[in-house]
Amino acid sequence: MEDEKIIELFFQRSEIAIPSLAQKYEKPLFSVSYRILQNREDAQECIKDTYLGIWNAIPPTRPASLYSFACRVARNISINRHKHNCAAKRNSYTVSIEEIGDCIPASNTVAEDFELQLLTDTLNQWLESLRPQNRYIFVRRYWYMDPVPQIATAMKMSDAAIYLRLDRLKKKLYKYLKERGYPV
Amino acid sequence: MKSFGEQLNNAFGGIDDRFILSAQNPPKSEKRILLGSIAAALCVLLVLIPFLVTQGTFLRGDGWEQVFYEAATLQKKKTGPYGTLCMMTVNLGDISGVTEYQPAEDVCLEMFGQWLFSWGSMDYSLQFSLFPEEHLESYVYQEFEKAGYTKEQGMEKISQTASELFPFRKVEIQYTVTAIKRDDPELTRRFFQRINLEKAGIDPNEVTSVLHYSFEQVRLYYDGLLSSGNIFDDELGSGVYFYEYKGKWYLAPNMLEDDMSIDLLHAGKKKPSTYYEQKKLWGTITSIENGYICIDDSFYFFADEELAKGYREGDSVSVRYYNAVYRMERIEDGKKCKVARAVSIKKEDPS
Repeated sequence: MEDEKIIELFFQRSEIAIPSLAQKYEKPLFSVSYRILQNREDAQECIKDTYLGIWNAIPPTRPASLYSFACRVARNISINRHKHNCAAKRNSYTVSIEEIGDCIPASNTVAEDFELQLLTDTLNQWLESLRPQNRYIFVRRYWYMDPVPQIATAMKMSDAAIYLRLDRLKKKLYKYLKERGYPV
Repeated sequence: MKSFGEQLNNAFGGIDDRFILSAQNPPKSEKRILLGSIAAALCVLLVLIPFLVTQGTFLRGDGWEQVFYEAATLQKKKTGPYGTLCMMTVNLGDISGVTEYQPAEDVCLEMFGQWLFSWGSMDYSLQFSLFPEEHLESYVYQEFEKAGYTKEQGMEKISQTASELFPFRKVEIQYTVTAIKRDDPELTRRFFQRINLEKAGIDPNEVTSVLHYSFEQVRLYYDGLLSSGNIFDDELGSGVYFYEYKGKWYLAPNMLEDDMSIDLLHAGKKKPSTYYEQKKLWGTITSIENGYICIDDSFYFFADEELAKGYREGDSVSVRYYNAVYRMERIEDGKKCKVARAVSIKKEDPS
């Protein structure tokens, strides 16, 4: 079923809205959630919460892309769940966040919504400036939290090449943020 | 560090839909365009390359010396400021679309080799001769000045830092050129569209020619032991641009690793310095070879004879090392490993 039709089902409060969404996107949503939580049961619960969250959000929201909207909701819910889980446990979310953490300025001012939006806009501009291959690698690693070997397989590159690329992208991001006045 | 992660999550979690959507599938490499006959191209190359190389007129004075040219494989070598030997092997066997091989094309082969040498050995100062002064003035020299260095001192400092942190003795570069096109209308249009020359201080009206290389299988090998893997399998899938500006050839401005070179320039001056920060690791020596001590079969440390003296495989040791860590893979079996410069090694009681 096409995304527009599924969104319409949500607007109609149809009982087949969630099953239709699940049929189409359960696999990628589970994948996003599982990579953050590293726990099958938790991920499944988060997916259920994701469906509920989408049910509550549509309407009034009419997402331009149902896929990215659903992934975003799943990601946020899973990250919140992660915060409640064992803090010391290092999973792919923790690792990928730590990897990129060096590039992101630590400043309390960024906690403000406005500052946060500015930072997001800056990240969007930076992503826009990347070559498609680099953008793919960066987004897969830090948004989808894919493990490096999985990205390497998808790109038909070695793990070492992906690590090298990520190292350099992080340095580029650091420079990009610094140039724009972020307190790095 | 945790607050960094939180900020990243909040900011990065809100990136545009299009980036999330476009990352669903890997991007496709640009389709290789095959023009002309391979046989014709090879004939041209076989005849012209040895002639051009012996003329020596097109070498940019960067010290490349031809080792051999045979069966469309060109090998050259040069030595870096701190003695690192670079062997560049270029496979030209698959080139198509070359109808007129010109000196500029060999200059560009060397420039790309030098760029890779610089990239692979972390000595970014070796890149500077590949870019016009105007570009360097706005991107690099200002930083030298801020740091209190002259141009020469700045370059020396970068080379020195790179050689201290990554003292490779031999870097071998291998790449295959799949296409060379000069002044192709479509590629030239893309060059001016994608590359911001003005931002780099270059007057586009002074550009008289544009050359485009396509590559594949770009690999770097270090000291016969470690490898970068195929680093540019896709990144350079769309090729690299060179342009002729005021009578000289240069690499496209987007290839300048100015941020990296400036990092190296400041290394040791900033407090704390990321590059010179020291860390400690405990483990067992699993091999000592080619100037490296390997700990737990996964972390290689540059260790000269003096540093490695008195140690052998099986020893429990602690290694203090600079936190400038390079990720590579072992040539022998492709195993992922890290590489760093050891500062000191001490024997530890295994109990």
